[in-house]
Amino acid sequence: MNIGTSKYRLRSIRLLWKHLIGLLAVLYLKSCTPAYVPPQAAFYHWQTRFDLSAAESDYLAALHVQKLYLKCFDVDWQNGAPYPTAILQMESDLNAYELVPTIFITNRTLLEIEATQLPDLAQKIADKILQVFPKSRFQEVQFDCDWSGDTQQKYFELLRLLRQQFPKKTLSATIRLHQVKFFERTGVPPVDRGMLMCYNVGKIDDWISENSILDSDIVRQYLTNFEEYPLVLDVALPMFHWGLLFRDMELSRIFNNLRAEDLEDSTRFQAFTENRYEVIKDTYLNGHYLYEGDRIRLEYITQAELIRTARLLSEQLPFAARHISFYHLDTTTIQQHPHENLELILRYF
Amino acid sequence: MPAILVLFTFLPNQISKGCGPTLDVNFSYTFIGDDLLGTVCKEAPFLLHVGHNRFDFKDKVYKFYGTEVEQQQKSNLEEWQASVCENAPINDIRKVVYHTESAALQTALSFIQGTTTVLDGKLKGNAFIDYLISLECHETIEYLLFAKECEPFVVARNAWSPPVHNSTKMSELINKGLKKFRRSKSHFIRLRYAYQMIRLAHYKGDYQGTLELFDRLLPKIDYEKNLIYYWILGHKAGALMGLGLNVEASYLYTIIFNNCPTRRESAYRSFLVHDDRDWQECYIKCKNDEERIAMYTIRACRADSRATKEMGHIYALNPQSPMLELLLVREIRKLEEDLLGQPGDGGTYSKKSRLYHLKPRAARGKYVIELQDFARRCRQERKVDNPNLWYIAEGYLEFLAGDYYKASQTFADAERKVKNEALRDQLNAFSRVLYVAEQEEIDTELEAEFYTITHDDEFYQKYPDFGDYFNDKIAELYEQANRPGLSFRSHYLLKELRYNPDLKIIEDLIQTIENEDERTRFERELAQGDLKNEAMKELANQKGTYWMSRGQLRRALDAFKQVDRADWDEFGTFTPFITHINDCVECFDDAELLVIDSTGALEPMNKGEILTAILEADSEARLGDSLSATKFYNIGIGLYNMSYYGPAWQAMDFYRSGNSLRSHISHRETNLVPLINSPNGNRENFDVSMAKNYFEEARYVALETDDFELAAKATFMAAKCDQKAFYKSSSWKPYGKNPIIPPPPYDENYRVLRDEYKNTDFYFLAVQECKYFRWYARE
Repeated sequence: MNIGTSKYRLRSIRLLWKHLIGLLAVLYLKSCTPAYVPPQAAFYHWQTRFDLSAAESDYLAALHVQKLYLKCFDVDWQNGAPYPTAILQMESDLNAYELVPTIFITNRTLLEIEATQLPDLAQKIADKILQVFPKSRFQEVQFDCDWSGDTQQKYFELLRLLRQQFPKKTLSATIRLHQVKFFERTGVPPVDRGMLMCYNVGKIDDWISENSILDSDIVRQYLTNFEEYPLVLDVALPMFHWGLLFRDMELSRIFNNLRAEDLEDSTRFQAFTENRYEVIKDTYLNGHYLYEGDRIRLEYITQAELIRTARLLSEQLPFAARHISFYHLDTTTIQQHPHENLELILRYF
Repeated sequence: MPAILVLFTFLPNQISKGCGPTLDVNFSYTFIGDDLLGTVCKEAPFLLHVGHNRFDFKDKVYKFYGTEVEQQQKSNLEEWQASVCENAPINDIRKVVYHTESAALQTALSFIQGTTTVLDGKLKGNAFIDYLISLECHETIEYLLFAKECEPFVVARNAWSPPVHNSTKMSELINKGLKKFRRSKSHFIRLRYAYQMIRLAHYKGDYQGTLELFDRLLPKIDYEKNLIYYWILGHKAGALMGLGLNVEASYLYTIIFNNCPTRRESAYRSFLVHDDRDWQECYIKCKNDEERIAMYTIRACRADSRATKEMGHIYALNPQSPMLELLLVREIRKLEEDLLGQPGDGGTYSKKSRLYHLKPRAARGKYVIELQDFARRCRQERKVDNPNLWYIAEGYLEFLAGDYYKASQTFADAERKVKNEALRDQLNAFSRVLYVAEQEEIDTELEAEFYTITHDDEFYQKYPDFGDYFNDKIAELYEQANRPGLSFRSHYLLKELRYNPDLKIIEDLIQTIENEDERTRFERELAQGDLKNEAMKELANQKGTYWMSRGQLRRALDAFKQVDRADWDEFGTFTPFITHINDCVECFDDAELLVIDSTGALEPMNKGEILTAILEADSEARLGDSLSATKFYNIGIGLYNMSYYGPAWQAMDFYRSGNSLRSHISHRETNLVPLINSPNGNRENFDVSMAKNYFEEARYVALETDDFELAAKATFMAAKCDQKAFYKSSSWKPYGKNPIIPPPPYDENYRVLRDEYKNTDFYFLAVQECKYFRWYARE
């Protein structure tokens, strides 16, 4: 055998392959430039009882919502062990929606748990999801945890173990803005998709903060590394409002859905700016006892702020089919945000 | 020399367990002793769970009194014993009531009915069962069987498996229970049937039915307001809550809170008033001050309460209420969380605070004064049950507020007044904590004194947190005295320095050990002759390894020479001079790796021998030895294999994590990876530049003698070093896509190997065995 000839032939074939592959690559790139896919609206449901009101159903229909992220339960550390709390009770017929069981895991659970207990926890979480969603109609499971450097390894290991529990489902995890910007440091959870949480961006526990829920100026500071981030990201945007109770200048409690109307009684509350109040008499408010001298800051989301944030995000996010999920579905909340407003937000993506 | 005593005796607890370091979660400081807890908190240990996320004081209290469920079981069994069979031991009753299966109970019933003569083996010799059989007490066994039947619907197997919800079956059981209730003669049993049925109705969600059963059944029973009655009341309250009648429900919870310690926790959690009107309505329902006090106590126990205000209300109603003392202890506990063990201004001595990044809550200073004033008032007015308790508390609050002078005066005065033994013990503990806190400078005398304190085993047993507190304080004092070794040692074991050996710490510790003047005292005190030697060996090993990992091989060898050569093998033996094509750090068995060169030593060598071999080979190679190229190459191989990437990594490091490569990215310059329990992180030997220099030198010399095979090998190994340098560069993305072969300038040696050594045998071997290079060569 003539080695030289065979080498030459081999080289010719390789050359041909190279050209062919090059041609295919050009065609591929031409045909596969990511096409724009309009985003789908979705919602988070974060209450323990799932019982859609007529108003909520109509609202979802108006926005053509098909996907609902249902907070299934929390996992918290209690009495020396992981413990499921706030377990969802299903009351509505859910056939109309694609449901995503969402499990919130407190960081302290991961801080406390031994690595050797993780397989058992994964098994229990999986069993519990199937208990709450017995027909296992869901295609995706989402995990929400604000992990820290101390818990990253355990959280990621738990996700790997949960992957084994749900081999055929899509696994997604919530991602905070800083976890994208610093993903080399914070790591990327071993899941199929991420849900970028664009809220709670400010300092909630600082009385001076203007709005801790959403501040596009803060969001802007984190919008880097989106091209490099390895997961496809859905986006979660806030539409909730709340009141933050400060006692001795320290955040003491959160009153969900608290509005200015709830603080109109001037014998108990004194407003000193548009959204800041002082408690002037010991009193109960929505089941909690407040002391004279406590302060309350109301925070809510404006359409203008949502638009600014949507615009910023849309400039950074690579093209992909994604859901824009609003947090969260609640009769009081949706009254503040007409569906037309949310449709407008979707158009920015 | 007491310093050395500190070094070896004031040891922190072992904190690394199993494979790698783990979190030590029980890190709260508290100096509230068990005796005080026993006096004050027995009735409501859960209230000492102060609601913060970071400390679970409740666990400590539950250790003594059991969880609420355990307390409930205990009280229930005591009722069984008192009402049914006084002669049966509690454990026998427990076995029957809580731990016997239906089938076994059925045999007891059959035995009484005469349908069998064989009792289940588990029940044989059980005094309680024997008693029931002797009296032919089938009614009791029938009830226990019924209770077992109800169990799956009302009792969770564990936190993750709730009770089964089956309305039909639950209704059937209620009907069955009603029949049995009517037939029962014993009111003790009747009350328990009522409990089972009311509980089933409540859990079934039939709230109206629950109330109806309560109204229908209770009048038919002659009962005292005992444990089971309050349990039943709890279900009635739950049903009222379910119907939206929260004020009525909350009033019942107040009664339960006040009268039934074993249901106090759940009553507290269930109490709910929405607004001021609810509170007033509930308050008006109260029939006496004790119930009103219960309402204020519930409010005081919310995690964020301003408890002194509620304590003021309670004091006005009844200064002798036991709830006042309970709340006092609880509030002190909260303040301990905030004011003890926190890093001071810029200080980072509290190991656990640092570990968990704890910050004291704001305005605690103001609150501690507030509570102090209240304690003083209680003590001075002498209306409270136990003024001395308030006096001690006052002193401790002064200490927490940072007024050590006032606290010491108060403690000294209290010392004369307090006679109660439990309180004296508590006072002693507080005084000792104050004494430690007061110290500003460490000296020989104080060290000796501290030594005595830490050898008081009884005290340590009673106040286990004292050890951590003491270690934090002494670490601070040593740090201030410029004794980094002793400061480190106050918190960590010597071996914990291995993660990232620090030369200053090592030198300080060696100096402490070598201090001849003090040795005698140390040896006399400890009476352990070889402890010093062991520590010296450990330190020499760390020091030598420290220099090895930094490429300072002569210094490293000098460090090992500080101990006897005969001891070198104790630091481990390794075979670093074997060439492998592919990296495999866990492959200690050479069979797993292709060995392509064995010109280096194959026998395992200790660290000192490795260093000697390298230094000798280096000298010889530089003198122009005929094997210079091979020697340079072997040195490179040795260094590479002892790096983070080699199977002999343990020669230059003590702890390695596979995850470090990704985690270290934010610390590229330092090679340090943050690690829990290691204050200075974990240093990994990512740098292989020294090995690369040797490979390049080997190639240079090999080419002079036309040894192309060796030059190819050296180039290949240099390419591997380039690849590792790329991992350390900012171009490498730990979670993104990276090129298979590093980009320029990290591909230089790959290129040289591909372009200049194609005709060598090694080239083909590399293509065959190394997928990276194969990919590159075919590009």
